[in-house]
Amino acid sequence: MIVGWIVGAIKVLVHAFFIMAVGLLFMGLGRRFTAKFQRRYGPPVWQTYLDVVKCFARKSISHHYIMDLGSVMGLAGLIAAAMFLPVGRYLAVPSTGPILVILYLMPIGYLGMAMGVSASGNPLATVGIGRALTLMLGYEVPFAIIVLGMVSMFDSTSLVRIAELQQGGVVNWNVFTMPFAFVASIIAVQAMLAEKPFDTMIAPSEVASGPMVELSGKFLGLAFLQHSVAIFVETGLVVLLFLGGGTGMLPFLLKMFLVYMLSIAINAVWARYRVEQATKFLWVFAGGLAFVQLVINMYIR
Amino acid sequence: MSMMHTFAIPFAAGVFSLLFLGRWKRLQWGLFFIVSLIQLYGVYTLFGAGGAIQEIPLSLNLPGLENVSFQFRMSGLGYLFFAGSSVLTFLVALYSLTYNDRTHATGIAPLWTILLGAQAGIFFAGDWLSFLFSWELMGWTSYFIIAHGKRRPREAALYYYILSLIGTSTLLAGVFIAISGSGSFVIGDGLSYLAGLWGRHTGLVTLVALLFSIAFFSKSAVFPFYMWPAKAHAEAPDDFSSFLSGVMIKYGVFGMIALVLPVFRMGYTGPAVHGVPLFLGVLGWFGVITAVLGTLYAIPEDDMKRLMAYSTVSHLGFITAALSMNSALGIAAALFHTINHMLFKGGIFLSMGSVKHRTGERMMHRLGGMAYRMPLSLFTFLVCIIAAAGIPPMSGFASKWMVYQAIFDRGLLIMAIPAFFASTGSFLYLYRGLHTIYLGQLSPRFSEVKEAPVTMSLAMLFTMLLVMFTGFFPGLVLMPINGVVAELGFEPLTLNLFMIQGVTTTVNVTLIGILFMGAVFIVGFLYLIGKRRELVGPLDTYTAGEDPKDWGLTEERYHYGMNFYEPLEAVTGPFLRGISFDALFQKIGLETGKLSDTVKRWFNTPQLGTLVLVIVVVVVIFVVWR
Repeated sequence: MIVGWIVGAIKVLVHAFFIMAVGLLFMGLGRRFTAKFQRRYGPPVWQTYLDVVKCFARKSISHHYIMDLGSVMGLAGLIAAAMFLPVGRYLAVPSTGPILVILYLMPIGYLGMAMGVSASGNPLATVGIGRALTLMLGYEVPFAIIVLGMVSMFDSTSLVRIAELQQGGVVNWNVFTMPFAFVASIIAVQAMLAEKPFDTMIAPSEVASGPMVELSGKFLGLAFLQHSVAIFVETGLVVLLFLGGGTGMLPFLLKMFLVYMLSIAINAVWARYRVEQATKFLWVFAGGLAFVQLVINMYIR
Repeated sequence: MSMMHTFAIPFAAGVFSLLFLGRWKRLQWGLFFIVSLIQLYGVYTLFGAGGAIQEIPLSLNLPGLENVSFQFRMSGLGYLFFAGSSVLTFLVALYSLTYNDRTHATGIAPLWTILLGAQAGIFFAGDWLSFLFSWELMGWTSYFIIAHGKRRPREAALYYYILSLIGTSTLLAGVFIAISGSGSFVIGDGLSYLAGLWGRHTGLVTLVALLFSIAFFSKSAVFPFYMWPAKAHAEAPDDFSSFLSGVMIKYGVFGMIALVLPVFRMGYTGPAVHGVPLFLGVLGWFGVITAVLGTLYAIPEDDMKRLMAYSTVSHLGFITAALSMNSALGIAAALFHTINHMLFKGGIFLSMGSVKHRTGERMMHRLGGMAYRMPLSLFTFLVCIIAAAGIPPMSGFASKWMVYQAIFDRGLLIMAIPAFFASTGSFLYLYRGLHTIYLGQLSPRFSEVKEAPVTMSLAMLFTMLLVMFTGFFPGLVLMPINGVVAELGFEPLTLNLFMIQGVTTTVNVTLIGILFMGAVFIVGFLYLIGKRRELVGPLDTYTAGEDPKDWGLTEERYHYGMNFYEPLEAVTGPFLRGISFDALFQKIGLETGKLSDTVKRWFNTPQLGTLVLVIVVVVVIFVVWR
C-alpha cells in the first residue's frame, strides 16, 4: 500500500518534469520556426531551458505572500491537469482521461496565476487578466461544443476511450470524420495558447505583457513553465480528440509537435485582434463550426 | 425531539422574543443562536427516522372540515434539506452573534427565529394545510426581515413580496385542485390523484404542474423571476443575505422535487423528448436560460452583494436544469449542487459580510487590498469561489460534473451549451470579486482594518473547512443523497466516498484533490530552490519609468476596479437590454395603476360612487337570488 503510494508519487514527479521538458522543447523549436518565417537565425533550441534556469537563479521581487501562493497554485493546477492526459497510452496515474476534469482543472492554474498577478497591484496585469478571462469565455464555449460532439458520437468523455475508437488506420481519425469540429478545435487551441491573432492578453505594445508585467526571477520562471505545460495539455487534447491519439510515446509527441507548429505558423503571419473581436470571432466561427458538427453527429446517430 | 418540535420550538421562541425581548437585542440574538443549536440537535435525533408520521389534530369543526389535522411526515428528501439548512443556519447564527454589535444590530432576530420553524414546517409537511401555512409564514417573515425598517430595502422587499404573493396564489390554486379532486389533505394522496389523471385530463395535470412551477420558480428566482435576488439579497442585512442565498432560495428546489417531479414519474403518458416529459424539458431550458442570464448580469455588476445574488440565480438555473431531467442522476446532481451551493455561497456572503462589517463599503471599486488586512476572509472567499466556479478540488466540481452527466444521460446535448457558457462566465465575475475586493491596491482609508471578530471568523473557518471536506470526499454528501434518490424510487447511482460513476466516464474526485496537492508540493519545491525573493511595497510596480506620484496616483486611484469587462459588456449589453423582464413588469405595474386609477375615479363624486355601489349591490343580490 505505502510502497504503491510512493511509486505513484515518483511516477507523478517524473511525469511532471517530463511534461515541462517537452513543453520547453516545443517552445524552443517554435522560436526557431518563427525565426525561419522572419528570415532570422533565431535562438538555439535549448535557449528555453537556459532561460528557465536563469530565471530561477536571479533575484526576484514579490509584493505579498499571496503573489507567491498564486504563482505556485498556477503551475500546480496545470500539472495536475496534465496528469489526466494520456501520453500515447501512458498515464502516470490510472484514470480514464476525463476531458471535463482537464477542462475544469486548467482554470485553477489560470485562477492561481490571476490571483498572483492581482496581488502585485499593477493595473496593467489586471487588464491583461480581464482580457484573458474574456477570451476564455470565447474559446471554452466552442471547445465545450466540440466535446459535446464527441459525446453525441461516442457516448464518452474519456480521452482513453475516444483515442481507442480511432485506432485502425488514418481514415478512422476524427479529423476526417469530424472535419468541422477539427477546424473549430484548431481555432480554439490557437486562443488557448494565446498565440496571434488571440494574444490580446499579453499584447506587449498595449499592456506591457499583461499578466507578466510584474513577474521577475523565479516568478517569471514559474510562468514560463506554466506556459510549457499548457502547450503540452492543449496540443495533446487536439491529438487525442482528432488525430487518433498515439500507440507509442514518440508518434504522439510528433503529432503534438505538428499541431503546435501549425499554431506557431499562424502566429507568425497574423495580426492581433481586439479582445471583443476575438471573442466574437471565436463564438461565431469556432462555435458555429463546432455546432454544425454537433448537429451532424446528432443527426447521424 | 420530534418533527413537531423542530417547528414549534422556533415558532414559540420567536414569538416570545418578539413580544418580550424587544429591548434587549443581544438576548434576541442569543436566543436565535440557541434555537439554531436546537435545530442542529433535531438533525441529530431525527437521523434515521425515515417514514415517521406525526399527527396533530386541530379542534376545528367547521362544516365540511371535520377532523382536520396538521401532519408531519419524515422523508429522506425533507431530512436532507433540513440537515443542510440547519448546518448553514447554525454557522450563520454563530456569525450573527458578533455581527450584530452596537453599530450593526438589526431587529430581525425574532422573525428569523420564527422563519427557522417555518422552514422545518416546509420540509416536514405531510399535508397541504401545514405546507401552505409554513410557506406563508416563511413568505411574510422574510418580507419583514428583508425590509428591516429601512427605505431602500423596503422597496426591494416589496418587489420580493409581490413575486412571493404571485407564487403563493398559484400554489394555492394548484393545491385547491389537488384537494378537491382527491378529497384528502394529505400531500401524497393529492399527488397520486394528479398522476392518475394522465391520459384522461392531461391539461388539468399540466395546469397544476404549471401553477406549482410558477410558485417554486418565483421563490427560486428561475427565469422569468430572476430579478428579485439582486434587489432583495443586496438590501437585506448582510448576515441574512447568506441565509437568503444559501437556504431560502432552495425552498423552491425542494418544492419542485417533492411536489412537481413525482407527478411526471407515475404513469406519465404525454409527449416526451429523449425520455424527458415535454413540460420538464421546457423547464430545463428555463433553467439554462436562467444560468446564462444570471452570469451575464453578474459580469458588469459593481455592487458585490448584487453580483453574488446574480451568481446565485445562475446556480439555481443549473439546479433547475439538472432536476428537470427527472432521472436518478439528475435529481442527485440537483440535490448535490443544492447542498454545495448552500455551503459555498453561504461562505461567500459571510466573507463579503465581514468586509462590509469592517469597512461599510458595498461597491467593489471603492474597496481593494482587503486580503492584506483580512487573510481569513480572503481564504474563505477563495475556497468558496473555487467551489462556485466548479473547479476541482473544491466541492462545486463534482456537482457541476454531475449536472453535465445528467444532461448527457438524456442526450439533450444542445442544452449543455448554455450551461457551459454560464459555467465559464462564472470565472469572470468570481475573479472580478476576488480582485476588486481582496487584491490589488489597499486604500489608505482601510490600512487599519482588522480581521473579522472571533465568532464571525469561526463561522467562516467552519464553512471553508466544510467546502474543502465535501470537495475532497464528495461521498460524504452524495451517499446520503443516493439514499434519498433510492427512496424516490430510482435505481441508486454507483458511487463511493471518493468516486462517482457517470454515463460517459467515471471520475475519482479524491484522486484529483490528491494530485493537485502533490502538484503543489512539486511546484512549492521548485519555488523554494529558486533564489529568495524580496518584498516590495504595493506602489513599487512597473510603470514604464514614470513615478505614479507625478501623475497624482494614490493607492486608491491606482486600483483597477471600474468597467472591468468593458469590451465584453459592449458585446452582451444590447442583448441584455433587449430582454429585460424588469421593464415588462414595470409596464404591467403601470397598466394596473392606470386601471385602478380609473376605478378610483368612479368614487370621486358621491353621486357616481353611490350609483356604482347600487349597481354592484343589485347585481350581487340578483346573482345570489338566482
